[in-house]
Amino acid sequence: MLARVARRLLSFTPEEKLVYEKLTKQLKPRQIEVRDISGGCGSMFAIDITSEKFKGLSMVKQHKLVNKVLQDDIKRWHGLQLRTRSE
Amino acid sequence: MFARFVAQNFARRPAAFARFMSSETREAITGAIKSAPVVLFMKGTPEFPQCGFSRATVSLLGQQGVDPLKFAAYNVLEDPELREGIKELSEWPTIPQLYVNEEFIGGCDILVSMAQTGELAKLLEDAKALVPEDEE
Repeated sequence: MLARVARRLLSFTPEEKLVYEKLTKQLKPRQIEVRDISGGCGSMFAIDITSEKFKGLSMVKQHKLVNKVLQDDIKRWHGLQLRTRSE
Repeated sequence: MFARFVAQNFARRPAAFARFMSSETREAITGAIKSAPVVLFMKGTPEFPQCGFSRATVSLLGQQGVDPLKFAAYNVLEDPELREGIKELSEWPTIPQLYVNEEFIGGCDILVSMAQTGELAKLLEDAKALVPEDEE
């Protein structure tokens, strides 16, 4: 498991790593997946995240939590594909 | 197809863009939100979407059977003030954004999820925003 995480981290682009670290720190996710899906320009990301912090929140509020953590980054991007789950 | 409602109010204004919305801009945007039961802020127009997420959202609303008479779309690419202002007002950083009866519903991902669970159909039906079914 640890080796898999490490390998995944190594294969991250710098921006993916930044996003991954910000979200991990702020939202303590049980599961998180960050992928640059821009095809090279680095302005489109897919994020799939499961966190206890989403419990009891509507989907809009769950997304807003993520948007807040990434507010400075999202400004630079063209788009974000987001999937949030509480369990 | 969808009725097209070009945001002329926005297009005629100078493209000067302030970091915080002027009250005039805010008023224009709230007016837009109230202009129809289903309001979409998107990149491009329903006929010619200029972003994959906006395209997906328009076709989703079409599949759900949204009544063109109850639908308005605003092209944020025509006006930087609208583009930034709507993000600030909704507290939502991306386009497209859907409003139903003046309430912010979400962006593309949320709409796709809501369509899968049937929540979107119910929401649009409750809002009486669907094309009436043919009675035969």
